[in-house]
Amino acid sequence: MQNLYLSVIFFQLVIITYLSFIIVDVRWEIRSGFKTQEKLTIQNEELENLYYQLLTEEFFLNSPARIEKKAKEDLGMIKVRPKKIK
Amino acid sequence: MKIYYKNWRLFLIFLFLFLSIAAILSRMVYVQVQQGNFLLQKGNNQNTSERIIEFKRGSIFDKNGIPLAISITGFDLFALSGLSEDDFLKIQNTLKLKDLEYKPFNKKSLISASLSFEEMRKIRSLKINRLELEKTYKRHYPLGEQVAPLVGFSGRDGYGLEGLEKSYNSILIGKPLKERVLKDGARSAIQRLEIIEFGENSRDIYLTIDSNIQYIAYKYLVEAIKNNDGTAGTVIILDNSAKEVLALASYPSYNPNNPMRSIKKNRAFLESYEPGSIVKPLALAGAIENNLIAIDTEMELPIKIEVDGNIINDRKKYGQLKAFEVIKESSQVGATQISFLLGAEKLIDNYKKFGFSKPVNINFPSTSFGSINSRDEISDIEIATLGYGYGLTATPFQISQAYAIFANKGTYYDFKIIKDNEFQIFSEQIISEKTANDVLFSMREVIEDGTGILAKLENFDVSGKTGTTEKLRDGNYKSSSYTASFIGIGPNPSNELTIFVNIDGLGSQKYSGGSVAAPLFKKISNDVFSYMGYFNK
Repeated sequence: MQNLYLSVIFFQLVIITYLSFIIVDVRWEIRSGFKTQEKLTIQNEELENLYYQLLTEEFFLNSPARIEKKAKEDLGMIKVRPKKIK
Repeated sequence: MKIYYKNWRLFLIFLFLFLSIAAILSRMVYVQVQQGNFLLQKGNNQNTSERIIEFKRGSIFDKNGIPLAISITGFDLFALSGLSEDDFLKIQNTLKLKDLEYKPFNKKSLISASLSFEEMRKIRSLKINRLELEKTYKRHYPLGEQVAPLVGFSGRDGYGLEGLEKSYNSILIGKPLKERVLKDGARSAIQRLEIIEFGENSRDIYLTIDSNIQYIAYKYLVEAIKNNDGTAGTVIILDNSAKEVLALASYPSYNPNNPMRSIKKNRAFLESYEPGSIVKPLALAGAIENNLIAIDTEMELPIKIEVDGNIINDRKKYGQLKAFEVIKESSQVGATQISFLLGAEKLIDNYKKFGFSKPVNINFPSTSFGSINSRDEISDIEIATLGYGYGLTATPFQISQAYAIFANKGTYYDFKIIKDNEFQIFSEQIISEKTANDVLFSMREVIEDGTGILAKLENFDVSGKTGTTEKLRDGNYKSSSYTASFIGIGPNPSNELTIFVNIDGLGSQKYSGGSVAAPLFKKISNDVFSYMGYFNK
């Protein structure tokens, strides 16, 4: 009977020790997850900045204003009206 | 007694130990019970803190996803009190801040604003304790002055102050999140403990504006104003089939990216003015709809008529004109006769049906309703002038929406400026399809051989109407200051676009709608029709 009690107590001690380690591990996981989330948020914003920059650049390069300027000033093109095909 | 005497030393030791334990226990009880909450609070204050997470302000895009207003993330660098000179020098070298000199920091002070992500990482890698980096957002408007009076701008605090930035502020800004976090020794957040207040993410909005059409409209508008010595102007382009605003240019404008900007109003919504002859087709539509006249009814027109002692005259004696030719020639005498046919009540009701003196269904910080002279005892001269566009005021947007009725077979629609599927488009049949077609026919004649001949396009058919107004200043009409307007619908026969242009503040040299606004319409519509891929006639 005494051996049984000792075994149960020992088993409980093992579980408590194991759970203590688990708690430490989970806390570490939560904190590292939180840090990763913070890093990713910043990375996301950085990529968003880059995306907007590229979007604006794309619009600028494709903009009729720039194309017109290039055509007139760099290439010496003039605006002609299409003629009606008879 | 002997035993007691022998063990008095042992007794003293036990007594000392007992008292010590009692003292420790009582201190523990005191700390736990009396000071427990206070100390817990103090500990929490050291390790935890509340923080507010502001969401990045939503962006504004045009219908093709081109950014009109975006927020760029940056970082402000602050020195906290006690930052050493060595650390400061490290920062100075890293950021290459040559103009900044070290002075002992007694309070939180800004060292450098709007650092990039790369600079932020370099600063963090220095691992200096007495520093703080704060995330900031800077608003950027890639199209600058082209859309400034429409899009508006927001302040440094992230709140919309003008234009759509202001009217859609609650959607763009979202709701900040408030949370409690656990902090490590370096005061960095390491764990979220609780959410105190749930936030709401900011949202982007998409406009119905097409940036390329907006560019065309703004470019030609500015060019025309400068060439004709005008002071201001407006261009509105409506997509009649989608019931959307494609472009809305207003001059003078401002650069919203410049913090020292001087705000200019959006003339399309705010500048209500006497539209002049541009309202004649609306009066004619009312007369046809009330069966008072037909489009080809012959009218006898003297060169001038006298009303209440005032002379109303035409440029020349037309003799007999059909009703549609009154519009084609923009006859004042003819318009007066149409007004008298309708009478004050029907004429005013007719204008109201076309949306005049009513609010427009656009969520903009402020819009003008315009006004109509609707006194009970209205004189004959007032009825006459209402027929050719005086005695009432309307904004360019109201006029554009009114004309879109002719393109939409007599149905009035509220046009939208935001791409929103939940937007309920209000519609109401104002005039019959036949009346709308009759008026379009008369407007076609304006372009073919009337006052708007300079708006005639080589490759497309359009309908239009000119308008010239003397400006009212201090109760008198000044013949030295004019507003020239033109509105066109095209390309016929699909009539998918309504294009309104006006130029304000014109001098006495060249000021009529036919000579100033019509050529501007021609340039804009030619480029816009080609851009939108309409086939030539």
